[in-house]
Amino acid sequence: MTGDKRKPLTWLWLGILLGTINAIAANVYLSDRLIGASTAYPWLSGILFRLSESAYMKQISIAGAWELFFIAGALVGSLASSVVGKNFRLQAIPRRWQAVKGGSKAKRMSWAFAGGFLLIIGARLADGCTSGHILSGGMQLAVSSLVFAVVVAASFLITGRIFYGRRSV
Amino acid sequence: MMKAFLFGLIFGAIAQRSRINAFDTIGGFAMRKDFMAAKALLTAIGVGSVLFFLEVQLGWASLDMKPFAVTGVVAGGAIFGIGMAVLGYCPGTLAVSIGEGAIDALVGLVGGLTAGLVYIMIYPRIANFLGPDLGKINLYAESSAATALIVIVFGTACVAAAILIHKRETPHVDINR
Repeated sequence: MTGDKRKPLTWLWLGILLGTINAIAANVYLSDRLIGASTAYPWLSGILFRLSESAYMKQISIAGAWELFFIAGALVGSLASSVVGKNFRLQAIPRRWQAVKGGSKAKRMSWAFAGGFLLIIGARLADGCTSGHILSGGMQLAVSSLVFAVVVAASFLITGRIFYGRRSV
Repeated sequence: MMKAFLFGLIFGAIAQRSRINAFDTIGGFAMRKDFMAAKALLTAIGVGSVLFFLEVQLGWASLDMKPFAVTGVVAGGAIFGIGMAVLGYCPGTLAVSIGEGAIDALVGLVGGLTAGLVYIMIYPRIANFLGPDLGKINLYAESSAATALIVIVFGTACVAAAILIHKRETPHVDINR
């Protein structure tokens, strides 16, 4: 990350850009589909394990395919940006994780797997994630998404306090 | 699908540029050390809500909400919050972090795909327990004028909250900012 000589995008500009891009994505003449990500996960699993005939796969066929292409694009866009910015780096343990939880790779990977599992189970139960619910739903003042955002914020911060400690470095 | 990929490309590139995807940002938020993710998201919702309402008024966009299935949204949100705090990525930024070489994000992806598989299999048995479904409801009023007022207040409040968080956040020197 230190190799990037470009000025990082500030939260204000990022927020303005994300809100504007999602409004463009919603436009019926341009895309007519608000951004979302988490349906891509069961969709890809369903394809890999040949479960396309299952009830859930049939239900998510439109969202699943769209979101899989979206996160594939996100991966490629990030790869391109990090290569151009010279901050692509294979890294197993993030700096802030190491500062609090230490340098064990097995420990970080176990928690990453468990966290990824809970993340997608939760997103699918609620039918959305940070992008599909909090951003896209929040923009529409949808009650389901506003409730989701409040519950996530509470659960996230409480878990953070317990898991990383009261005054983590 | 080309459009989905294109929106993904733009999203991935700007997210990577801003560092919002990094564990140090989202995990740092769980540690209450870094509020960038909250500030950016609040700003995006605030700006987006006004733009989206304008589009709806012009007939350029239509509402596409998720139903408020109470048990699913509340239980799912609680589980999602735990997962995001421990993992330090959300489903979208996970892909962004894999793109810049985060190996723990790749392991998180395997966890997420496993969850996707499990969910497909348990779905027929749990689908009836996600309710009560209160439908696709939002805070829009009957008249456009009243809705315009609600949206402007909501949008302003979101951006104001972001600015307030920014002012209260302890300024710390961080190479990532």
